Amino acid sequence: MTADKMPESAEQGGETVSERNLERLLNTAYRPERPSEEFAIRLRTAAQKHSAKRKEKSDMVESTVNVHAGERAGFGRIVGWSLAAAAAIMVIVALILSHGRSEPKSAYRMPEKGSKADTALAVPGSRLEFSGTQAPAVLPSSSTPATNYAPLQVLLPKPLFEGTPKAMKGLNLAKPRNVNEPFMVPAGCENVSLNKPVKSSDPEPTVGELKQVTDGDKEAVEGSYIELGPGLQWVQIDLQRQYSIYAIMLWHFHKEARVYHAVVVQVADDPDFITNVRTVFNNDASNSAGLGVGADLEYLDEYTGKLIDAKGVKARYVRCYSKGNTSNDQNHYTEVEVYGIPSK
Amino acid sequence: MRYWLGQVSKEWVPGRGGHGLQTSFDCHWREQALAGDADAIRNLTDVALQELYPFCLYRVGNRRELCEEVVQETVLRALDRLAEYDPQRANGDILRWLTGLARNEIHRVLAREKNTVSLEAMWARVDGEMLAAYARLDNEAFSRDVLDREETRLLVNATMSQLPPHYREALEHKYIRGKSVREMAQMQSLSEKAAESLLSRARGAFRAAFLTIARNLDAQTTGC
Repeated sequence: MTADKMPESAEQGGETVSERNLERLLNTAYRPERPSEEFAIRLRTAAQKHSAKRKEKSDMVESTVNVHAGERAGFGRIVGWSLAAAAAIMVIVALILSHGRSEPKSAYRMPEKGSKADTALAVPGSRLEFSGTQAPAVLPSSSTPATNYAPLQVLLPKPLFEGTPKAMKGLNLAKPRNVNEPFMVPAGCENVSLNKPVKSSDPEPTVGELKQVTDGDKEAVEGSYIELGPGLQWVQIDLQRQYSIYAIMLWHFHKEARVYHAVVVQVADDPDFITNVRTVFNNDASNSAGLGVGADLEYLDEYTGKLIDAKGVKARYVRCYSKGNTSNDQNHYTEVEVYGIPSK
Repeated sequence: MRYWLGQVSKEWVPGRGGHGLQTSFDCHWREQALAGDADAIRNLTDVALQELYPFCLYRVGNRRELCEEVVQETVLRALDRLAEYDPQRANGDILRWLTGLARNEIHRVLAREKNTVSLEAMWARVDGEMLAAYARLDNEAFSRDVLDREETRLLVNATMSQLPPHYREALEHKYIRGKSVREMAQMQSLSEKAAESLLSRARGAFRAAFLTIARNLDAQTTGC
């Protein structure tokens, strides 16, 4: 290494060696990296096309919303006038009848024994019937008649589907979950997996950290999900004691319309899944995960999450498998929630 | 090896973009972009090409095809998520938001290409003697031999990609385009004093980043 100007004092003519070196580095060695013109054209075209598509889509949605709003407004007016007319008629009838009566009667009537409104306990495996607009509720099939039930309370993230969904031909998908249909669980059943330790077949996720699987954040935004490597992968939650598990909620990645393959959920009494392993969900119809052929249907990952009926199974460890998805080979987990009550 | 790139980049200061990009990515721009205005979209792609591209290149192992993929995906994602961009919070500087999105794309690409892209391999060519020479930046004039080496070019380019756009722009005006301080002041509507001060700060930032990278490489190769 021969210096072209050596030795040199630390400062020459008011300019330090450091400054001269920087100047020479920038003058001689710096070659700005610029993208090729071809790429520039390709990027501009892609961006303009993408933007036009988005605009078209949002215009369509807007016009649909306007039509629906108009319909709703018209319907609202009709209902309003009808109610007003009915009320007026009832007032007139009541006034006429009150003239011919000596004793006033209470308007309240006790429900008759055995009527629907009198039902206090739910019958397991059946649907509760509700009067009015409330939707019917489904009970876990293995529950006992003597237990008090309450609808499962799940805080849902914001819905956020982005991008053009990939073609999903040939998939036999389960019907999307109706969030208005309450899933009944024993009273006191709560999310017992919140902030519990998580293990994975891929201990160093490409994106995120394993603890995010149970951190309670299930939004479809960057920083909320983890990405595991391609192929079959699993995440495992240690509930730190045995619970009777009634429901498992699973959100893989609900920012885009995707179907995750070979989704299998198992529970066990030991962390290595050797003792008392039970499968509570399996949609791996081709046994590609090697955990047995599953009879459950594949499903579209949505903000509503996948609700798995665990039927009160007793376990400490929960493991969720998946093997890529319809968009890529990676495996994503936004949140897993396990609902249960401490097992006696 | 990935960590040092991240470390230096934390020193980024929000700016209004370099290379003569005068667009302020404010609420008005966002409205236009959401409405599909061609000029607004073009402004976004210009930032991506001029600022985001060098930012991504050294993070994907100097592989141009991967860098192009990352930049394009980032732009399309940015268009999809434009409603999330908050111009007031970003002070009209969209680059930081874009680099956030780009980091995720880089993660994705590196994960997919983990068998073929090795950031370590990219720097493995820099031998210990060269690193020792770089470390003497403040004490000894670089020889012609050092300046002509490919590793030096790689290191200088990587350093420049770490700098905030306005610093990079100032250094390029001065050392690549040969502009005087007066000309730079006129171009950027600054006083001569302010232009000189900006240039001085840019040189300081370059020096700090260059030495940080060289030192980290040295630590890697000597196993410290």
